Amino acid sequence: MKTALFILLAFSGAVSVLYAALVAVFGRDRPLSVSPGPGTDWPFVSLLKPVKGFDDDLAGNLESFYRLDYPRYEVLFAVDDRRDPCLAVIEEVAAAHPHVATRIIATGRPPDENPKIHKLARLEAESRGVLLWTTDADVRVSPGTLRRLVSEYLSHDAKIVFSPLRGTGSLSFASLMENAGLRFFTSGGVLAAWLFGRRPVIVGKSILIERAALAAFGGFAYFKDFLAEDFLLGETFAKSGFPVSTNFTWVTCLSRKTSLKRFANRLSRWAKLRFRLAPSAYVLEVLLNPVILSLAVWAVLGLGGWRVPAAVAAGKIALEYTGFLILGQEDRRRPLNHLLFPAAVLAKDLLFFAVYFAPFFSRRVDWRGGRVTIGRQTLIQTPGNRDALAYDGA
Amino acid sequence: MMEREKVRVVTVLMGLGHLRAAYPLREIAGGKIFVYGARNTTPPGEYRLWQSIRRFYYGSSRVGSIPVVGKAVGSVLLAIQRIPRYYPRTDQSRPNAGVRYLKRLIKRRNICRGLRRRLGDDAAPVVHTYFATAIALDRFEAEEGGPERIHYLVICDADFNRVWVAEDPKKSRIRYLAPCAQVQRRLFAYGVPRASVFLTGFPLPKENIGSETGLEILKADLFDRLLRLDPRGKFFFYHRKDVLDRLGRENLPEPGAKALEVMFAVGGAGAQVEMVRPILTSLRQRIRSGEVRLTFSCGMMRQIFERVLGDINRAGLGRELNRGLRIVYDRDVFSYFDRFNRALRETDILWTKPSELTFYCGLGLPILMAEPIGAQEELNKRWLREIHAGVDAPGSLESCGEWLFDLRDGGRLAEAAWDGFLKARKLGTFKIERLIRTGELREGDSPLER
Repeated sequence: MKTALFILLAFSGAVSVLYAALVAVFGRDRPLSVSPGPGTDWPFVSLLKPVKGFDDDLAGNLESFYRLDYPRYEVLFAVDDRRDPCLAVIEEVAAAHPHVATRIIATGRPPDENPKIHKLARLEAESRGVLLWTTDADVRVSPGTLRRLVSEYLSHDAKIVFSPLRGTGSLSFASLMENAGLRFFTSGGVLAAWLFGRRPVIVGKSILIERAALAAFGGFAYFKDFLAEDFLLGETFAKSGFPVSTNFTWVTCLSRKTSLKRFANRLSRWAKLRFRLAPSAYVLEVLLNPVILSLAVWAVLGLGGWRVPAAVAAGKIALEYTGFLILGQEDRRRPLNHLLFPAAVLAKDLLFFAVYFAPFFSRRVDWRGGRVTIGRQTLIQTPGNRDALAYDGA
Repeated sequence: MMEREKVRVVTVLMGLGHLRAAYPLREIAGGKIFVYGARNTTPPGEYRLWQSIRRFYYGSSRVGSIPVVGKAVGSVLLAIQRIPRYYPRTDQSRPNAGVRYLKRLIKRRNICRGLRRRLGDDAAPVVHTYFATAIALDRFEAEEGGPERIHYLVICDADFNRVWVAEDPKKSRIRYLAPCAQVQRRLFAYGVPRASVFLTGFPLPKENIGSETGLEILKADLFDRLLRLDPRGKFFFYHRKDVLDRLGRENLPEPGAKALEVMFAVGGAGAQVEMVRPILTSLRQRIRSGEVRLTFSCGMMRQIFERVLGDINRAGLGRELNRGLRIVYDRDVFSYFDRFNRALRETDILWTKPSELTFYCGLGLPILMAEPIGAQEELNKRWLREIHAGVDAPGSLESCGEWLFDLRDGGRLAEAAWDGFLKARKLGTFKIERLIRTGELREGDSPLER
């Protein structure tokens, strides 16, 4: 028993070291291996932004998309309706940048389908770009981001180019936890899956898609019945023989003042999605949490074994701290974040474990102001799409 | 006369065949087709039973592709579904194991009990395209009383197992709708009274036919197809006058240089998906040069659609999508049929296993026959051969780029299209509708009236 636990703990530790190393090595925008030449005809890009309500520092995030160093693009926003308070912010930012074509579309909210996909499908129909770049409202980018993403598309004929995420901007303890989780667990996992398994684990914060390839599926609407549309986009494209790629162009995901409840809800939702996408892989995820495994070892060793969890906790904090220093540009400017960081890492790992069991007992997910029940592959369970069979088209 | 909305059409999801037979009958049911065995139409306990039946069905469709044991398991399944020889004529009315098993499912596991509740007590006739729903309801109503309801059962193959007929057909209220004469003969052999058998033809989509008396769409599509299928005039050398007379044309136009339109039916359960890659490889150059346009009909399963799309991309033909290559797919099965029927109008050759699509030869489509799955498909294939509407692949899949064009240039495909049009029944949908509304069934004197 002890030996087995120590083996698992060693494995878990090794994975943590690997994640930290990947984040350290790939954590900065790397020089492009192949770069389009000076005479490159940069394709027109449509930036698609589904928005709902206020995200942290929404204006700042949007602003960054108007300062892109890219010759030809347009920005399209989708909101549920014209009463959404985010509208004023969007209009203000757009008005400050009249040289960038901007449109705002009110799409409504369908009861039975993925609301984000509903918005994206509407935006897709309105857009003109050869390439579509979908980003969430809490994402901030640097001026060179789009050019780097398109370079990858041009150089490798990639039909989807995805990005790892750096969480930053923490002004609350829960945000500090959330950003640490994004940098280490999410981006570490994304990088490891890509580099060692060539599996595109796509997080929908930023995805560049070729319109023509997407059209082969009938557009975004192909994914409307699924909640984990981002993951399925990557998997479906790869399975269908469309090249998917990344050149490790990071995008920043801003979480400033999230609450513990919101963070726990998000963790729980993501856990349920992962479980429905790959149940067996999800069950093994607990092995990626050395802090929890070290507590199990302590329980077996008795009180005297406290050194094990202490050492593991110290090691884990140190590993994540490297990511904090490399990727958390805003976070590291705030001294209090340095002080709170060790506690945030441990609290986050304990919270990860607490929500780990949620998918075994519940299929219900809170998302974008609604509650939905999900099935296999995160299929949204409504009478309409459980079995799309009953014909009533007189 | 029966009120339009008072006819019910009931089908099940078991591959696409039974649904496809139901879809053309939607008009008579006021636009409503009831799909039983689906999660949202079936009580949970019974739904699980349907799921396990479906799993068996889909598994058996794909069993042949399992390495090593596939063939052996396939032959065992074939033995279970065995259809007895028709000749010498014998009394085949004795219930077989399938009939007894279905009886057990009805008595012990209450299969279709939820359907009886859903249909309520009104006496509106019900058209079924799957045997289990018809036989179960007929049995419930006979044993427990209830409305004097007539059940019509559309037989979906050119020959079929005894399980499609009630245990005691003489006591049953089921009326059988036969797509071809062989089915009629077989029904008699299974003990069904003559008064309960109606030779209607298989229900084909009206949108591919036109009116019952004019066949406007069918004739126009067929004429264009024959021109494309006979660029060297070998078929027209023999049949020119007959074609012009029957299709109401004055003369033949000069042959144009249009691409040959082939539709390959991958199958609702994806039974033919393994064939996609070699076909693409063999036809690659001709697709690129515009000599052939290939359409894959993939049904409603995402996995099948994505697999075919992957094969296209991996064959280096991604750029031909929506040009030399098309995929017909829809998550909604009825939207899928709409697309499929539309695509058929532009199709010159329907390449499929001999499923219920066998009867689509009546639309003047030559059927290029892939390997059959199951005893009934073996007999569908035989029927296609008998009426000369089916063509066997003369070579391997890897060489289809050669023999497909040889078949066309020899006029054989045009001949199959013409024979299917003349010899297979086209008006099943119209005849079934009239039979149910008026109780009448008239057999026309001309092949174009059947």
